[in-house]
Amino acid sequence: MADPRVLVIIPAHNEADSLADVIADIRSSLECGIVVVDDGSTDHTAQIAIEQGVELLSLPFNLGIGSTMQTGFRFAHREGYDIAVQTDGDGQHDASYLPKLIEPILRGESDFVVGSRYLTDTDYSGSRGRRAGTAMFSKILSLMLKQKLTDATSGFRAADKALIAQFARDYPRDYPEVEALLVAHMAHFRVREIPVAMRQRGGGRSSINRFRSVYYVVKVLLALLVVASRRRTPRVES
Amino acid sequence: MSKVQIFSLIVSILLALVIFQLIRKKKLKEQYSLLWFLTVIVMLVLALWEGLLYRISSLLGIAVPSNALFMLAILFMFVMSLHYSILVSRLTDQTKMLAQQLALLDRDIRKEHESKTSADSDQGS
Repeated sequence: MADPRVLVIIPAHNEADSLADVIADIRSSLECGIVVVDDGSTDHTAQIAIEQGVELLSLPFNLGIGSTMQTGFRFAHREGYDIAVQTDGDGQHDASYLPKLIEPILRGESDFVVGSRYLTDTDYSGSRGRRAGTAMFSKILSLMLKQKLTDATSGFRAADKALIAQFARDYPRDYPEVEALLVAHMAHFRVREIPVAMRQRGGGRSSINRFRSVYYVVKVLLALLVVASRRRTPRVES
Repeated sequence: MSKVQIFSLIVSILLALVIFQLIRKKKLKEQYSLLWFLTVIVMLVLALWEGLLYRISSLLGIAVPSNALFMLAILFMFVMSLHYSILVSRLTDQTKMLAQQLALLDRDIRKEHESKTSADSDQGS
């Protein structure tokens, strides 16, 4: 791929504290465009994005992570980017892995690359419930995709141009990570995991509490069932 | 005419008036008003035509006619709320699309504005 244009999409909901550092890390790791999609933040997330001189897409109210990411994909599609990377705004993802994350796409070996915490022995622990949920979804997806997946809930991932077009049209609404993998597979995109290290979330304020986690599991299982019941569609080139 | 018939008649007519008033004030789209008018007409027919409910219940094999009425009413409400769920889903989707489009356009306007102000300051210097 000659001189590919890469866009890093940062979905951000009240990430003013960490956003500047995240942007600095990305800039030092990869030559790329950066867009912050502000999901109706009530702090000065948007202001920081402007100060840092990155692209800013400001949603008028909170839409949730799925629709926020889709906004980024729509922008990437419209601006003709070759690769779109998703990375969290809280500094959980280590930007130094960005070149590795897009490498399989650059080599034409994969269309959808996911950074996995569990592919090698990393010191990332996370809560036990979260690990169990991720392990279960990874197991189910491994069976459905007939390939080994270890971190289906990872939000550190890269999509190629055709997949950008697909996600710009249609992207799962909430808790999208697991479902997006299956959607990509059903549309004949090649999925691949690479090992990454992730940092612990500062302060441990995960957005998923106990009641929500039950809803999360049920919702994702239902979504997988629905997606799997559809016919596999031929891959649409952008 | 029995007491209950008069009572049902009054309720039906009142409902019809409320719906008509809502349309007049443009608080209800005609599309929905038709459905509600139809509902009121069914209520009217059931109120006036005494034998109809008995016939329906015996046709459905329900011993007590009022139970047939309740069952039909609940079924109708169920279909209606399902209809609203579909509607809400569609509206949510449209709202999402609008919000995303707004974010994209907002960015474009900001860019346009920035390039204009920088061009202005270039001229000024």
